[in-house]
Amino acid sequence: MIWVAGLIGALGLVCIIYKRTLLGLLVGIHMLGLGSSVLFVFVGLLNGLNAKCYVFALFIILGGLAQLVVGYALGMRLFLIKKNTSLDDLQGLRG
Amino acid sequence: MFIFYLFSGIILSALFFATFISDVKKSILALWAAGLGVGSLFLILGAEFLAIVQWIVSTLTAISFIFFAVLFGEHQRQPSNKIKTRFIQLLLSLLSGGFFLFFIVLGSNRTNSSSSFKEIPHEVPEFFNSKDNVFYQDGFAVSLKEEGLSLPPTIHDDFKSYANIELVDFGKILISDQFLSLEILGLLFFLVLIGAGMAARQAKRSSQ
Repeated sequence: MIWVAGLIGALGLVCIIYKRTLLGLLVGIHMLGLGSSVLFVFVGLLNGLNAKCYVFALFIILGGLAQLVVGYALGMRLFLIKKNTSLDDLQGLRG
Repeated sequence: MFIFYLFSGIILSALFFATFISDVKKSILALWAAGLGVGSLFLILGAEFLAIVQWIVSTLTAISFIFFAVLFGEHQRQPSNKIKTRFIQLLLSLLSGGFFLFFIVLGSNRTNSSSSFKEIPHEVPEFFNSKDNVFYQDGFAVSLKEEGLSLPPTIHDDFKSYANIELVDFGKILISDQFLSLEILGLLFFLVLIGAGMAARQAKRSSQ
């Protein structure tokens, strides 16, 4: 069961490194959040801490939403300045 | 178990598709399908509240991704880099993903080896519900009613029985043990809202 969650997280990490656009990065981060919430639910089931692990999984899902909002804001800023959302141009936001 | 593996296969294939497809729209739709699959997985494992939250979050995330993809002009296929660069990128990403998976499975094996389903609990768990008696076998919750089994007289000594979590128990933990975390999450959302609004505003044009 745990390996399913690990695979989901691993695919998220692969997506983060493989994709070269900001939206691709956000997709990968969302996948990592999926994997970690599934992992918490599985570990909670296997160790008898159902309710507490469900609460942590809920926090992870909601925290992922906050990450997305920040990512979108960065993307908007980058798009307004550079007219594209390539990750290589993120340094242009400095200063 | 078949349903669990079926949904796991659907989730993993959707995520694989979302990772390696170059078209952003299809990648986002695959991510949405994976999110729905994860919610279904939560439903199978008895976390109905989490399942509903996951479905709602996945749908809203997919809609927002599509919106921003169209806004940023990424709705067309991405131009591909040189083959050698893409190959090195792919190799590095697969290696890092492989290491990540290895450490997750290694950590889970070390964690599970210390707890056994045959341990005898000394106390009844706080949220034990005797209405639907459920025990674990091979990592899956098995309902005694469905299996046509009867309870032994000393179930608390022989099995570590867990019931589906009632929503009221979930709420009790949120407002008692995890109240501070809930407050911090609310504060985080507030700060994110303000920060995102500041970050996404258009730069002022210098007056001539």
